[in-house]
Amino acid sequence: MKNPRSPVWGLCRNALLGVLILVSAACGAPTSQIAERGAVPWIDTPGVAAQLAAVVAAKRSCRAQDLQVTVGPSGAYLGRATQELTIHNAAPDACFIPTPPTLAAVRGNGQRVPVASDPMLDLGGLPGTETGLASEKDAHVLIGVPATCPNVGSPDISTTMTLTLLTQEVFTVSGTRLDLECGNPTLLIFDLRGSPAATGPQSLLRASLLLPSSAAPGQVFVYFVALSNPSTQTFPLTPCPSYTQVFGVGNPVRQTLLLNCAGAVGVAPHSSTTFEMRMAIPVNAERGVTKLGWQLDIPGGAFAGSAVTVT
Amino acid sequence: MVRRAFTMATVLTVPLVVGMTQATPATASIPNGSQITQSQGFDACVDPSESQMSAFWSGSPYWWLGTYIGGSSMACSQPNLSATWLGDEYNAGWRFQYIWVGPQPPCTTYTSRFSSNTSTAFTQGQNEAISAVNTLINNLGVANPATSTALVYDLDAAPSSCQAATNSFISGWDYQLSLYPAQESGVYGGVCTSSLQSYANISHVPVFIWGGLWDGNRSTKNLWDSVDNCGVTSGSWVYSQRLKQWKGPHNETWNGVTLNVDDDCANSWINPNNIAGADSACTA
Repeated sequence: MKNPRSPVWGLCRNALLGVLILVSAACGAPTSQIAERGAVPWIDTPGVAAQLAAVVAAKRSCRAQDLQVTVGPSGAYLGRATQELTIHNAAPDACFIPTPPTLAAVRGNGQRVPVASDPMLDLGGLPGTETGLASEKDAHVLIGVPATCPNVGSPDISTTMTLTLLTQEVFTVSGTRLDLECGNPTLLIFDLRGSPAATGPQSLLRASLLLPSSAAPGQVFVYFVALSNPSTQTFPLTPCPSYTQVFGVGNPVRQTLLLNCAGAVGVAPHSSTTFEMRMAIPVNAERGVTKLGWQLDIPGGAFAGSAVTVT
Repeated sequence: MVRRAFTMATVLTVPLVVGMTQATPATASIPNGSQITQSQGFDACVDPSESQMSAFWSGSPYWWLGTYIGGSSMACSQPNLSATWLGDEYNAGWRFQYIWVGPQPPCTTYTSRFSSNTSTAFTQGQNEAISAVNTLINNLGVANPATSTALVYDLDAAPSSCQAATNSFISGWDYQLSLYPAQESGVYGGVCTSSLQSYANISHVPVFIWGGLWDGNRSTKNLWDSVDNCGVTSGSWVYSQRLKQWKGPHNETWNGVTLNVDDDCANSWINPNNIAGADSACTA
C-alpha cells in the first residue's frame, strides 16, 4: 500500500480536489475509489479523541433530601418478577450512594427483607464501594424475585421499599410491587443511566456515509461523510472538531484526525457539507464483511456506521 | 471500474457519485425484514442511548440489538425508544430483533398474567400480537405494510403446571402473526425454564426460537442444557430458525462506554434486511 503521508500520495490527494476525478492506480489506490465533487478534501492532521466521561468527583454522601426515587414498571426479566426504581440526584452537587445500594422490601407486617446481590450477575461496582451520582443524574435499579415455585397462590406482596443511605438515613419508597411468595429479592441491575448530555450546536449535526461497498487490504480507503444541519442556523465548525474513524471488529484500526475546517465555512441551515475521508486498510485485514464507524469527537457528536466488505 | 447508478433518497448539496452506496437518510422509516442473519448481537434491559449505541458499534462484534418495544411486563422503562431513535440507529448500521414482553403464565407471580383458560389464553396471545404489530408500525416507524418482520414474545418463565395455557397463548401469538400483515413469530425464554421445546408441538408453531442458555458457546445449534438435561432438541427449529442468548448479564465496555448486556447469536430472522457480519461460530 502507499503511505498516505508520502509526497506521491499528497500529489494525488491534491488531484482529488474540486472535480470528479478517478483516483488512478498510479496513486496507489484502487480504481474503484472516486472523489466527490464539492467535497472538502481530507487533511492528515492528528486530532484528539473525545474525552471519556470523567469519574464523578463527589465529596459527600447523598442525603435523603438530595434524592428522588421514581417507581417504574413491574415486569419480567431473567425469569424473575421485577420492580424498577430510578434514583435521581436533585442536589446541585454530586454525592455518593452505596454500591450496591442497600435496599429492602417491606412486608405487610413491617418486616424488612434485604435485597441481596445475585452472585451470578456482574453489577459492575464492587460490594462495599461507593458510586458518585452527579447532579441531576440517575441511577437505574432493577430488583427481581423468583416468579415461580410449587403451588403458587399465596401472594406475599410488598408495596414499600427502603433505601438506606451512607448517612444511615432510611429513604422510604412507596408504590412498589414485589411478590415475595417464591423467594427473596435480588438486585439484577444497578447502573448510572444515560450518557453525558450533548452540549453545543455541533451535537445537532447528523452524519451519513457515502462509501464504496468494498475495500481491499493495503488500500487507502476513500469515502465521504456528509454532515447535515437540520436547524435554521449555520454551524460554524469552530472550534474545529476531531473525528474518529474505526475500521474492523475485534482489533480494529482506529484513527483520530481533525476535520478540514479550513476547507469549509461551516454547515449551512438545512444543508450539508461533505468531507472526504481516508483510511489505510491494513495489508493483513481479514476478508469478509466488517464495520466502519465514524464519529465526530464532541459530546453527543454525530455518528455513522456501515458494513464494508474486505475483498 | 464499473460505473453504476444508485439512488439517493435524500437531497444533498453535492452531486451524485458513482460506485458508492449511501446509508439511508435519518428520516427514513425502518424497512420490514425477511432475511436470515447469522451474526452476533446483544440485548440490554434498557434500550441504549444513541451515544451508547455508537460506542458499541465501532470495533465490536455486534451487528444487531435485541430491542424491547413494549408489553405489560417490560421490566425497564425505555427513555430512548422512539421512531427517531430506531431510524437513527438503523442509519448507523444497527439491525434489530424486536422483543415484546406481555403477560406471563398464570401459575407465576408476575404482575401481568394471561388466563389459565386455554381459549382465553389463545385470544390473549392474538391480542398481544396485534398490539406488538401496531406498536411497530404506528409508533416505531417500521415500514407499512411491515410484513416478515421478526417479532419475539418474551416468555420469561413457563412452569409445567400451566403449560396448556402457555401453549395456547403462544399458539394464539403465532397464529395472529401469520395473518396479514404476516410477520415472523418467535419466542424467547430460558431453554428449560420457559419450556421452549413445548412450542414445537403446538397447533401454531413459532417460526423461530430464541433460547437463553448461558453456556459460553455461541453455537445456536446447541440449545440443550446438558447440566439440567433439558432444552431444545436438535431436531426442532433446524432451518435457520434459532437465536441464542449465550452469555447472561455482564458489564461490557466499548469505546469507553459500559453497558450491562447479554450476548446473543443469530441464525434466524433479524430486522430489517441487508444484515451483515456473518459469524460462523453462531451457526457452527
